[in-house]
Amino acid sequence: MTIVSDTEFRAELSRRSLLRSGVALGALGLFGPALLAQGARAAAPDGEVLTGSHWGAFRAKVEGGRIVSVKPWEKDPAPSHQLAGVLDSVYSPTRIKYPMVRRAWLEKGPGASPETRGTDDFVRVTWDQAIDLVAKELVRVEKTHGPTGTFAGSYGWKSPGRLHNCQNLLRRMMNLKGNFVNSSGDYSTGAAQIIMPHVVGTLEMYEQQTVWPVVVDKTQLMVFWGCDPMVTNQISWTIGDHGGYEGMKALKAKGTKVICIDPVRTETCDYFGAEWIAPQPQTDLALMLGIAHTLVVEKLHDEKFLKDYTTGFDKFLPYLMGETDKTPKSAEWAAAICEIPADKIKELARAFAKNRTMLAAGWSIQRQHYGEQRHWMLVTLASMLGQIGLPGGGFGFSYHYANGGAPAADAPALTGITDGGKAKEGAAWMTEAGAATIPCARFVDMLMNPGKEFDFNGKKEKYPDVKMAYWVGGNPFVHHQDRNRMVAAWKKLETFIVQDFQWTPTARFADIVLPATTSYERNDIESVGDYAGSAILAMKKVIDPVFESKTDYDIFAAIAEKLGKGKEFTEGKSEMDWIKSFYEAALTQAKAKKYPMPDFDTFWKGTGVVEFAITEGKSFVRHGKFREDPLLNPLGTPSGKIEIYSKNIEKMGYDDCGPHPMWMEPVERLGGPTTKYKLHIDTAHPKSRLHSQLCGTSLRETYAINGREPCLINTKDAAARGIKDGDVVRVFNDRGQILAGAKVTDAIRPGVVRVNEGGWYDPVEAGKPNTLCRWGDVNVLTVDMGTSKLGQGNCGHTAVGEVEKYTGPAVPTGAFVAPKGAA
Amino acid sequence: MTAPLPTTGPGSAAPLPAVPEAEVWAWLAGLFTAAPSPEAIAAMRRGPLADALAALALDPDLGPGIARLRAATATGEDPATVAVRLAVTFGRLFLGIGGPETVPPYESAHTGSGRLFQAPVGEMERLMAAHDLAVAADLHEPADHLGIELALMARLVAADHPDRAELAARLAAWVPRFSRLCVAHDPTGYFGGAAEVLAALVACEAERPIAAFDETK
Repeated sequence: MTIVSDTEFRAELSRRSLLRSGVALGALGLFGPALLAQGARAAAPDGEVLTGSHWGAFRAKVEGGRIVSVKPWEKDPAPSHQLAGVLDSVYSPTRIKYPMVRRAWLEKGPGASPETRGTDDFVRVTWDQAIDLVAKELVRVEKTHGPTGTFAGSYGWKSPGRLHNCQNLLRRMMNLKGNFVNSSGDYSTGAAQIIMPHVVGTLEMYEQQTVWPVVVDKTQLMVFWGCDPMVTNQISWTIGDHGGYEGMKALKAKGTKVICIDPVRTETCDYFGAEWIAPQPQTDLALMLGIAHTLVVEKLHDEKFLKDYTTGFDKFLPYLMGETDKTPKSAEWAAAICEIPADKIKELARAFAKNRTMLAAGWSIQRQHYGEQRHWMLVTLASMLGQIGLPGGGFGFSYHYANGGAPAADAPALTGITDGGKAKEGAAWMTEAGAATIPCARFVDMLMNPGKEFDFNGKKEKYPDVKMAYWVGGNPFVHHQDRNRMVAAWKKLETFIVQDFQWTPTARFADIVLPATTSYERNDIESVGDYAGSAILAMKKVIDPVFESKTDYDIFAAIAEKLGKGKEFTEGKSEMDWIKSFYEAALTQAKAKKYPMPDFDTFWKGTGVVEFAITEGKSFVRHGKFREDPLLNPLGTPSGKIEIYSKNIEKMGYDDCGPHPMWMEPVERLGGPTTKYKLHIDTAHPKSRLHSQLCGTSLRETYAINGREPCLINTKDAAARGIKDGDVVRVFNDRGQILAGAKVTDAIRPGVVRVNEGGWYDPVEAGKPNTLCRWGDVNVLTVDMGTSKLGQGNCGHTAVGEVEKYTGPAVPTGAFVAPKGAA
Repeated sequence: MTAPLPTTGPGSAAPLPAVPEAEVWAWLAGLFTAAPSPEAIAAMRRGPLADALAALALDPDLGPGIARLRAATATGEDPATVAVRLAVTFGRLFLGIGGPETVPPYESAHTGSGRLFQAPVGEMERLMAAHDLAVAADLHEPADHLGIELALMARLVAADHPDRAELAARLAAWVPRFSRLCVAHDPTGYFGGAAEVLAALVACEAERPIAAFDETK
């Protein structure tokens, strides 16, 4: 008998059953839909497609419509090892296959049984049903709860691409729907981006700094303060260019002296063979003050620079010297707080002053209670050194991020899909959409305190009463602090919609889950290099959407259509129409500035990449123009100069952010006067993830210890606790508890342990207070409060706790581990 | 195991029906493709399906798995309650909802690096194409989904086509591992039991002597 059609097959089975027993036994085989169809489908084409990701541009090899391998773009000077993980994520067993709805929500309506969120009880629905439910709920919430009923601030790192910018698309749909609550700022530079405009009159945090070629040429002392560029430069907000690695390679070859200030002897420190200085975490400010005090005592500070380019030093000096509070911020004073010997602090002051010094500060130091003080004091210190605006001197806040310092090319700006809100001053991505806006990290405070007034950067605002949240391109159940507090607060939402391509911890806590495609299942366009802007790249679709996933654009267009606003959303344009429009806008600019750039068809159908030349970018010096002529090129501050003392901040009268940088005891810190726990928990960015992205991939096998997130612990601390390398440990404090795998090492200073952020929250009992997290989501342990009333940034690096060898019942992680020894 | 099965069983009053092998394959295909509805649970307790399961339970190879599976449905609870429990488990094990707890029902995941959509997909597509078959379009699954491989196996067994040996070998290369993981990580016993049945069936099929294909049949 030959293989036949499905109907005939089933009929045949039935017939045979009847012959055997007279009973219709088709019962066994006839449940469920037909799995096979008659008629073989045409084989999909083979090929190689160039596209891009946060980790860099790469070529994907396609066979029979499937990606079989990826390799870095040949022009990438330092490809990231994480590319293999990118392919894993596209083909991950945790891909969301179909739209799904939490059973209680579907059967009993919004707000039903919120305590069952996170227990994985979902019902599959069709796309039509899902879109209908979403649209109805958006309308219901706005009608019932008003313009601030829905939160669509949706923070996260999403994927690159100017059209499928899922967060802009979400807000674009929301703006057509009516109103929503937006969010401002980010978790990266929450405090610093608010203080810097007050100090140097600009955002500073995402602006080009003195470029690497100038640093290599002129800098005599490179100080990496609280950052690990060898690790973090793998990723970029747009497509990673990795120009920072070229800069660091050249710096190393030059033999320039490098100092790394960090509680961990980082990869960067090892790469340069740098001097490792390990202060107590959260005390960098004290260290800076001790250095500053030394400069004054030894008359090493640049009084002329302070006079010509800054204001307020005369008001800051009495504080520094102890005239206002009887506490001189001397090296000895600082040593008692930060545990760096006074002599060393004085040595640093002399070295900074004597050499052309570049202070490359990371963002960990401001992601702490009173984070605003750090970068303010860093700029103050740099002002005292007087080298700001000199080639190779001063400060730079992005050498570790998205390859800041890689020379910028002569390139046009690439626009993208807008959310329909008014453009705002500041970074190009800021718009003023939304009926209300909250600082992005204050989301849980908002849920817990509707109607309550809060301070933010000189204004008083009120937390809106949000009942629904729609999250896309983000994973707040990993990136937000104090997980238990968050889980409890989440019960307040009536509806939580999550749109993503993987079953992240956030998706598991949703009511409606919508499967989006990855970047590689759709067309898009993006630039290469956040700071370098060295190319525009076609992100051509590599494969068709897998399972039932749809592109973000299609999903939001469908919702808009359901709301009667489809035409306004799409403007009648297809995916390719939009992409072409962005390219052609850039082309118009390029033509005006005479940057060579082909027409769209030549670009898209040809190589799919257009590169731009680097000319002046090679010699850029941050604040060089300001230094040249501060009157002609004033800063955007009230005085036009660097404000060491800010009258504007003085007027605010905040008790947690004074008019000049000052040391304040954080709510908890290692060695703090009111802190009971004996270990600081460092939560630095991981090496083999982008925050939480790629956590579910084979990359995990390269770093997991005993199947869990690693916990670095000093040999002395481990010995004192009977912990050996490879042990499963419980890391805990009053906010929660996690399991991790111990890595005993002297590459971390005593008193500090490190569990990288981004590990996927995996609660033993979802929704239960203080439940154990099996994998090691360190944000179970961090503090959820604003950095201060000024910045209201997140305090992801404020956490103390304790570590013990885990002796409880066995808690396995993950059912599935790929076969060992396989390709 | 060979068909036909014994028509009487110990302690049974009425003769139990024989269950054609192809049907068992087809049944398992559906079982790993979607969680059982309350109706399906009820049917497993009483009726022709229950009788068929009782017959299969007598088989020495399939028996243990069938017993585990039936125990998961015969809890005395309302079928709807059982269906919810099994749906949650199905999602955690096979739909990726469990995040790292997933036991992917795809050959690619168990014979490679863990990624889906690997070479087995192309190999299965070619095997199906040779029989002028493809994955049902509205299923949106790659061709190496367990349900697809088992559905094809059912066809080949029904036709006694020589390709059944090739597919049997393919299944034998990954089903044992998949089955072990299901048994270990399914707290209900339903999918673990089904996986045990599947593993036994695959083992038996692999041991079958490869008969020459008679064109004249």
